[in-house]
Amino acid sequence: MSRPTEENRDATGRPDTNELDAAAVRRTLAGELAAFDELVNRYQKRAVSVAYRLVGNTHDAMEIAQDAFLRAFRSLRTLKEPGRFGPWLVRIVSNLSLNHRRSRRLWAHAGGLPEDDMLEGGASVRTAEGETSAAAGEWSLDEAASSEMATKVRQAIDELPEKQRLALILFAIEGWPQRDVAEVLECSLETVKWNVFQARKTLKTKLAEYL
Amino acid sequence: MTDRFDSELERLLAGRLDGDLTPAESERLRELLATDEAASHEAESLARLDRLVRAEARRQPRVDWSAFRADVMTGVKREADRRLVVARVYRLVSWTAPLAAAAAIAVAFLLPESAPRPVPTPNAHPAAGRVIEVAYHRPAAPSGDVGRTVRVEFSRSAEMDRAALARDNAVHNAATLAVASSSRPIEASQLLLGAWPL
Repeated sequence: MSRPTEENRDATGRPDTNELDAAAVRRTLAGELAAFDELVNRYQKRAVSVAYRLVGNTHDAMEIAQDAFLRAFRSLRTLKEPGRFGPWLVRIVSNLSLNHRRSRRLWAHAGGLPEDDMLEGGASVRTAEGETSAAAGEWSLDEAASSEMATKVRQAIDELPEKQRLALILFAIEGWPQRDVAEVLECSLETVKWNVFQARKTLKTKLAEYL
Repeated sequence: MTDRFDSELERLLAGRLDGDLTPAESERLRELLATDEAASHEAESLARLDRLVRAEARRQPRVDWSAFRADVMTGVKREADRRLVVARVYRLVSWTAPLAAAAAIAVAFLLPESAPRPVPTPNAHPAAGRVIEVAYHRPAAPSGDVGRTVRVEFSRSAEMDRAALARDNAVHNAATLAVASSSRPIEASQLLLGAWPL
């Protein structure tokens, strides 16, 4: 259960990622679009993945990530630390994702889509990517139990307060350094730790039967 | 912010899960867990939960990354092109606007010198431009000239020739006086104003 320490965890890439990002940002600002393409290539998986964890389906996650890249390109001049492009982009992604969730939830409450359908792999929609289709009847009992548990975990995470959910997703699932999570959440390192721990405590209560 | 945790045990458990305990803190946690069965149980539950949560990382969206990247860059290029057009228009305006302003100022100064002056009709004398013959009668004239006809041409623009207007008015007054003092009527159409000595 040993986990990498804050110092040697590097979820944002190689040690010189900041310098690479800063150079790419400067070249983009000078009009070199290929430099922005480098940034897209470096951060596209992370952006889509974070949006996916927050909104629960691939289609919306891709749209949100694409929108986030465009917004980042438009406001690149406002980025104070070009080397911190990654956390800045993820902050845009998470804000867009949270707005998307809120508007979708309002719509669901107004009589639209049932909220359960908001999550792929949720109770009503079993289309989780990377997993065997339940409809195909190919699961073993263990896999079915595991899948059910994963669904419960997802639902429990989805019900966490926004800040706790975001902190848990970025730190515990996406493996971001706490410093970057703090930058995305615009709070201190200690607040990140506290939010992650509170999220764990809440999940422990909700998922007691599986622990 | 460390005091946001409810207890030392909580803070140490969080630190262990996050992987940022110092050796001294690890030792302290070991001591606590060894002496407190409930704490030990709590630690095990949290560790299992942590594994469950981290397992979520295996669930990844299936995306054609090349296509996604191409889509993003298509939007970015469109945005860059739009900016380029805006920048060109701005540059064009920033170059031409001062020139246009300078040209407008030059025209404003030069045009009145060469253009014909408009006739200011509203202020013109009512009889401007007319030639009227006037007969008058002056019984009291010292020279014995008791009446004659004079021909007067009013200036075309009273505004342009204030001196003429003043003269015309003076003549008008004089003629009116002459008519008023006349022993016989003078046709109004004949009345006017000439430059004659009173």
